[in-house]
Amino acid sequence: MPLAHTSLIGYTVLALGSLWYLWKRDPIVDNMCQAVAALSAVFTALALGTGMIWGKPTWDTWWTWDARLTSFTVLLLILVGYLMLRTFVDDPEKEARYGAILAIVGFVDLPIIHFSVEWWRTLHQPQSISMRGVSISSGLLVPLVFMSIGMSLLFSYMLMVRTQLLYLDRLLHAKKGRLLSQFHLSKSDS
Amino acid sequence: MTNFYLRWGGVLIVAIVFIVLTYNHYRDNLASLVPQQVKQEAPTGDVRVLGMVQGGTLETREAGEATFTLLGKNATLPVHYQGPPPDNLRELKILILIGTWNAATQVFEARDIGIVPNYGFIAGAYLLGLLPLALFLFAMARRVNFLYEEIKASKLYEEE
Repeated sequence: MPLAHTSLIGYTVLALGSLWYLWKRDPIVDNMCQAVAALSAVFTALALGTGMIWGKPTWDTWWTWDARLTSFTVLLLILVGYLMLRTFVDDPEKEARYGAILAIVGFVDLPIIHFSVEWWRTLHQPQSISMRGVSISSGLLVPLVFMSIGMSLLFSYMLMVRTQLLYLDRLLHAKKGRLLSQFHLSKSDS
Repeated sequence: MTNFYLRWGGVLIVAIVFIVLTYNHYRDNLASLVPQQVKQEAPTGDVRVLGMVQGGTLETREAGEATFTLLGKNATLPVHYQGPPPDNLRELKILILIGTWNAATQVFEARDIGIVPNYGFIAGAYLLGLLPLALFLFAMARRVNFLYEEIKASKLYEEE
């Protein structure tokens, strides 16, 4: 659950960042969006994997086409699609713009994930924490809250490292390009 | 790069110490005896006994009190349970009983009943959840370090 919560928060950050990018065209925000998408994809995949391990002893099956699980898998596909799109387009400005549009359109999956256990009768249990109250014992609630906070902090730290990585990667490419052009200029001068 | 590996080595050592301390803290909860051991060793104080409720032996007297026979591999154990009304007490179910062995009456006095936690699945879920994240973070941090070195080597900060 903490992995799943964190990946949903991550996608929300991605959608908000994409909106911000389309409005301001800030390349640093685009950098952050690309970083948060990769991390959300990893967290979503791990949430599905650990959920399968939980499902085997609880539901006696590794996988079922339940509304919650299916909509969560769709989220993973959207994130993988986003990352693939960003590698296919050559023009950096177009790459960022197309990615932002895909991320905003993909945000429609989040309410579906959230309300899937209310809208459809599924194998997945209804929400344990909702407006109706908390239906989870305190023995599980306390570690769940701690793990959720811990995962969110880990995600934030990983996001900082990944954003820094992408920034340095672009900086190095830009510098190498500039050095190369300087080299060609000096060759042509001589 | 040396500082980088020293830092990550420190993180690894702290993680190992944390895992060992956690294991030690919960070791008593992980260990349990079987009916044969209880009869042979006659332990004093609280123990945890693992076994299956033998079919046809469960008698519930009132809410929170029951007698039954716990079946091990080579031995059976008469059990008298008194405690909170149990949710999991059924015939042919494998359970963990917490209580004391009464050597005088040769009956195990249980005061709590738990289901057998599946530690294989729990350990598997933790490993699948945390190990890839740690490796991913390590790979990213190493790449950042490498990029800094590369940028320095390409004289990015040199005045032009």
